[in-house]
Amino acid sequence: MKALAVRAHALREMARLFRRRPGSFLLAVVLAAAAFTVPLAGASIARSAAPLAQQLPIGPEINLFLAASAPTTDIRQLQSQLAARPGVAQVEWITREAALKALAQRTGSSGLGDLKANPLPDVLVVTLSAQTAPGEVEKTLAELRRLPRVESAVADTGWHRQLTAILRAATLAVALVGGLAAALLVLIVLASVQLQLTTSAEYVRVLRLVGADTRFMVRPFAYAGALTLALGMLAAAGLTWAGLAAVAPQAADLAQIYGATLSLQTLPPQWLAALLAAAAIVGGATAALGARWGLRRTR
Amino acid sequence: MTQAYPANAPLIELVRVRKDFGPARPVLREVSFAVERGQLVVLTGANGAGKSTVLQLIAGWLAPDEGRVAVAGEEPARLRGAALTALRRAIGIVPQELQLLSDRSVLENVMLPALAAGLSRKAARERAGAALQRVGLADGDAPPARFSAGAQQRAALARAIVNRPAVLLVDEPTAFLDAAAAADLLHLLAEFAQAGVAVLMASHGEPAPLPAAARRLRLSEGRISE
Repeated sequence: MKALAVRAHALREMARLFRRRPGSFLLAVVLAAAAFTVPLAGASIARSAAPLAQQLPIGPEINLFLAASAPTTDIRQLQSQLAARPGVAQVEWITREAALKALAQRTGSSGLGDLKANPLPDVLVVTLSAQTAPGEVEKTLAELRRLPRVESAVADTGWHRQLTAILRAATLAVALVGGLAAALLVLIVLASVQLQLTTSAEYVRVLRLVGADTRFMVRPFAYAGALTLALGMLAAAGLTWAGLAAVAPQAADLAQIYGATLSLQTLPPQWLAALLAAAAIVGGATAALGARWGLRRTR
Repeated sequence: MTQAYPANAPLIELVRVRKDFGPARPVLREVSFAVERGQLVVLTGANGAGKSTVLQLIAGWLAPDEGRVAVAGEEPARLRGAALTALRRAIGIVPQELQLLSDRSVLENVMLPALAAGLSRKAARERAGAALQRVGLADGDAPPARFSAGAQQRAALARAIVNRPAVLLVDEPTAFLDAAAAADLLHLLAEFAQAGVAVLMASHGEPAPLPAAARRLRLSEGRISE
């Protein structure tokens, strides 16, 4: 009963805080919405594009060129051995006949058919898992070179290094944007609390006069912080939905040009609900800390 | 807190209290006095004599540089957290500036200490209504600005007594009141004292004849005299 009473009172005092400076409250919500929108839109796009990314062959490949004398049974055995190796995602066998046919189709050369013998070797294309580090690729390449029936081995590690570097940079950029957004949100809440404390100086003086404890004094400010970030998150979800709906047809058309399917969608409702709750908790906790600090400073 | 405290012991006790605001501003020098349950003590002195400082020391907002300040046997300056909060709730304070919040009704102002003590809104409203009746204000639905100076003083007094304190500190309550209103207020304070509250009132003069039971103390040059 007591817990309910003090919380109900805190909600009423929170409403008074907003009524004292409605413009400041709205500004804080708008700033919070702006800070939330960038990572929320990024997360929505990343989730929508995830199936597309899974279709891309992003694992490094090692081409094993086999000796012309290698019998078919040996090649099959080697293919099975390689497929069983840890870190190997897939092993594809391109027969010398298939390779010649593909070459002829690609070059449009009819002269290849006049060759007395097929000069191309059988090739085993070993695809390593996407998480393989560039150094690990080099090590595997050296090991595969030493296998029997393997005449030469080539790995295109340059693009894999580039891709790994790009992914690292992208991860760092996402972390930086997330960190900046988080810092901005904390600053918005803290600045908002300090302003509310300034406009509520008389109220705080009276609470001290009547023997209110710190928790009683802090609670309305904490609720205000929670509501500010929760409303900011709601507004950000709305903005993200509107933005994605506006660009979704163009993005789908662009993906179709490359033979892919892309449907831009906002995060699922249960994710948004979890983010809303997290925003409210972070807002409440930050505001409570800010208010405690402010009250200590003005004691 | 006050239940465990001996009934015949003074509720307010200052023993050889010294308080300076910097080396050039000594305010209190060896101030000693006590206020017992049921006593109305009027502390007089010129402006700047240190009357408000005495009240702030008792309320625990200031700490003495030397000596001992105790309320119901507890030293506010040594208390922290819940113990300090509990002690402050046992002290009703009417500051000189009244500090009634203008963004709510007088009734809601008076309800505030009860809500801070954890009472439900209904219980706080009932208690605030009773406190307002006790000080002679029947209707507290309007904001403080709509009330006269005397009524505002009474409203601040109602807020101070709503949690049924053992100690009542009143700072210059008659400063802006005419003689009749001042006399009424002093009569009211005497009634609280008769009900068992230790009442300490600070005033720069005597605007109205003091009740017969009131004890006078004079603060001059940092020292107390009867």
